Amino acid sequence: MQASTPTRPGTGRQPSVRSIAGAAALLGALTLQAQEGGQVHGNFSTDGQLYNDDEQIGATAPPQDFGLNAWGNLNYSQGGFRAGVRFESYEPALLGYPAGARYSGSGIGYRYASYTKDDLEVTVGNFYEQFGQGLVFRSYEERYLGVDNAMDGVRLKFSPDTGIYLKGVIGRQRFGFENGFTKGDGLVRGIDGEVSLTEAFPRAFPKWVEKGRNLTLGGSFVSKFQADNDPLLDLPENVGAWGARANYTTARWNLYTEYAYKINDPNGSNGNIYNNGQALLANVTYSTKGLGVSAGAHSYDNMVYRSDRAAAPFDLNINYLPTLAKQHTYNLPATLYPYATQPNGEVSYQGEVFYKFKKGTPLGGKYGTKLAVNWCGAWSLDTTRVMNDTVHYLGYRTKFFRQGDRQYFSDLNVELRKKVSADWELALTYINLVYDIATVQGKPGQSVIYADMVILEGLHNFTDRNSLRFEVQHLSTKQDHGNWATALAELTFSPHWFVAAMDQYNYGGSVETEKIHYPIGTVGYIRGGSRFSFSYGRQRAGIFCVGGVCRVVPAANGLTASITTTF
Amino acid sequence: MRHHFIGVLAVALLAAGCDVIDEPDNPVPSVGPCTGNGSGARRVLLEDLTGFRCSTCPPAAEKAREIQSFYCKDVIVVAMHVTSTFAAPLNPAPGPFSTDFRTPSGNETITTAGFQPPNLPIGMVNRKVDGTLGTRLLQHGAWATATAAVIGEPAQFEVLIDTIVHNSVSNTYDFRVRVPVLQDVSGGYNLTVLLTEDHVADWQKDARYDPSDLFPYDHRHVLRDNVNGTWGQSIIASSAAVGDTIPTQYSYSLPTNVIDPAHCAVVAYVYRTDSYEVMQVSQRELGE
Amino acid sequence: MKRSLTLLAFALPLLLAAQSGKLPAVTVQAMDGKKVSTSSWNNGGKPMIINFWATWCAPCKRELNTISEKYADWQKQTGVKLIAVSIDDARSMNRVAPYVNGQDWDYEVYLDPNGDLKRALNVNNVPHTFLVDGKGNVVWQHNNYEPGDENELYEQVKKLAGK
Repeated sequence: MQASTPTRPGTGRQPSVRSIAGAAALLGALTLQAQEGGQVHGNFSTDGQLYNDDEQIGATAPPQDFGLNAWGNLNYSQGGFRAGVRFESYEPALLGYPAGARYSGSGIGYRYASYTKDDLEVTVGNFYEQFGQGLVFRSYEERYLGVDNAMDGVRLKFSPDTGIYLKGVIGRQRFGFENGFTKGDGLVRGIDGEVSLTEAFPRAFPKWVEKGRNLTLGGSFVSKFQADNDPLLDLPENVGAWGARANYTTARWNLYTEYAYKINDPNGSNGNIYNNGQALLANVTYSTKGLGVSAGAHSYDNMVYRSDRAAAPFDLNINYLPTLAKQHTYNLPATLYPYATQPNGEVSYQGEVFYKFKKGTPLGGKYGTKLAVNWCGAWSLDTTRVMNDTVHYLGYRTKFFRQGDRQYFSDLNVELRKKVSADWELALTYINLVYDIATVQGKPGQSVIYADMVILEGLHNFTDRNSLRFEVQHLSTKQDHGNWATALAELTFSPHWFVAAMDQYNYGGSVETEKIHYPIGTVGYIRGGSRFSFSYGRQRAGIFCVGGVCRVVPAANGLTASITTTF
Repeated sequence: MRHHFIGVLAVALLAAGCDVIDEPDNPVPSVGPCTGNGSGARRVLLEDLTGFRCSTCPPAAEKAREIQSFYCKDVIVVAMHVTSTFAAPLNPAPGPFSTDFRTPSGNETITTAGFQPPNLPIGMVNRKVDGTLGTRLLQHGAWATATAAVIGEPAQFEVLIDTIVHNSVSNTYDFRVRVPVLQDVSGGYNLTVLLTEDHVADWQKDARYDPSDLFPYDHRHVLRDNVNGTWGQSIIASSAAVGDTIPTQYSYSLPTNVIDPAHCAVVAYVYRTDSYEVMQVSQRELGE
Repeated sequence: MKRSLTLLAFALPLLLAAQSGKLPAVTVQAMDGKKVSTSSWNNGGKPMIINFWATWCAPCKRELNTISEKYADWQKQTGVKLIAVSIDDARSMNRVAPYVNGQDWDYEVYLDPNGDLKRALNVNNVPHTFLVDGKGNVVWQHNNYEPGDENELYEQVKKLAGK
């Protein structure tokens, strides 16, 4: 076990080595014990970066020249009992991390214990939970964004009968991290019920049971409490929100809709107005072997819901407002102009088709061809401002689901993917983007971006273990930083090694900017549940969005190391 | 029992979970407790970080004015125009949005760790860090609550600005600031003295109007200059005792951005150097 | 302290051999919206592959699409079953069904939008593949996907199936 460390445990002169040995011994002991009855499992991941100054790309090294984020989970389970703890370390946090409140130091970021007996599950401590798709309540962790609004309190889950599910939660939300997680001021309480009709009442719906159809209905109520000490205004101390949802499924169809309503909730994000809020989302999908179609729409009106009125956009969110925009996987479209929900007011639509041209058809060829077409558009909500409202502080009036004049976003993309021979696969993607950067990224005065992107990806297998993958990406626009081109090549030696090199080139196009290259090289090693990777080079400033806001990862130059392991 | 637990919780929540408010104004006297200078109570420095091109900023300025009128003159407002996004001139003079309201001390403040505004409008109440949010930069909905939490509390200091004398020969304004110590204190304290100008007519963007470019907009309490530097001067190095009075003396020439000296005021405040929290503040108009 | 932390960070994954253990019992969502406990997952004593993926994860899709072409052979040879667990959250879980069908996959697909199973199996990132034996024990796992990894996976499946 100690073979991979340079010094044997017990003879180590450095306390650091001894502490590793200690940790290993402890884990070993726990594992041994685990074989008796319970089990201990966990994972570990870390991202470290050594920074250089790089004036050309605007990268400034922090005073420590160094950043390290690390997380380690340990979970114990025995029968119906489960307990776990997550240790986190930010010594200091990586540049631009996290999205919201500051993380610093090392300590416990999450701990819980839960017990399940028959139909009842009780959790104390931290937990993640969501009601429906989250319009009124969702606590979750998005580690790579630095979003974690875990509840700290009590959760009950109870299933009184087959197909009937009840949940109750109470607690405060995780906020920042200072040698341990800190909590927000507000108290969050919620209940949720869901019934799956054909499971709960099979005799009432014999036809549905027979044909494999189902209807699930759900409802929830959430309320937050935060004291009112304002000398001038009567602020609501208890702000309630309720939601209702329905999901109808057949073998081919899936209809989902969710509605949410929130009472007056003046807060820093909505301009402290006393309007009520509401949200509606609906989504229909039809799919059968080789074909998938979906269409969706939503409207959000004044739906920022936080457990502290004064919290910043990323912090202490109680609900989650999903965007309909496709999350791209290629580097340029994923991190240059991604869309983020506008929770104060938005009307959005989405449509998507996946189709597989079968083998042996004219378009399918020998191996088949896959086509994906996706479109999403988002607009402002049509509102009329209420002027000089010094009595009710309503801010504005609006009609439900009425689209405004201002377009925030649209994305039309088409992807063709084809295996052209036994050892070659190609994918061609086109993306047309309209992006209101002033609204989405909060950069007032900047003009709307109109961009076209073309991406070619290829994969060639030399042997059944070695392959080369490449991407060539191009973005053309006359706005913002102008044109970009990206080339990537990745050589893999399965199952352990890969090397990759990428260059992004911002060459401006018609925009007068400096021409800047962003070269970066990566080496990775994978063994079982562990992955190590090291990169050196320039990283372009990127945008990561969640909910209503985008986290900006600043440009950086230096060495990055990432390690993840699961045990 | 447990069958009913969630049901009971549900009813309790539905009954108690909603405070529907129709008319938000508190039914209280329109003027709050006003203690005035020299009473031994804390007054509040409310700094409004703003910009004339920030179209969501005017409501924050209005909120500052409401708080100020509620607490008479126990709240002293300073409007600090900052950031190139919102405060840099848009056109050459004398076109619209051609004035640069920014100041060197404002620029230095917002580039200092702990003072970097994530967005505008935002403000600071006595520069005090909010206990749960961990920041001194508060959205304007939180200003009144933060003000109420400290105003009127027993003060460690008084700040007295003596009569400001205009010396017509040197064209300077000469005045003394005295800081009587009201409680034994330990730690380092600085005194910052600055100049504001009230009622400056200029352009302002305001998203509530269409068109949103307003002129003339009445800019209130605009920060013009720091008399003794961005972070002021040290007046207590490690400790002071009740009864001590720390005197300082200034002979100050008005900066060129001042339009009307009659609208100018001197603001002086004492703050703790480790936390930056403002412990006491005073204001005196030039002609007062 | 900082140095010891860094050292620990690098050494820990090497010190820890992959552990075996029982598949935890966690509730996930089937494609028809019904809640299903992972304790009901079985393959009649034959091996199961549990693969964590997401519609926004390119290597995940590459892996499942590659296996998809060989899946019929794999099933015929070893009786293995692949369960694909999507960790797509509220934002993209509606895209899972059309995507899966559009790709013509034959896997059993489940949704884990709250990340309950992902956390119970300590998955850091996707793709992450577990191999479960006929008794419900996790016997092998692999993080990441590079072309060719599916061959290594199939070697393990064959070993487990005694082929």
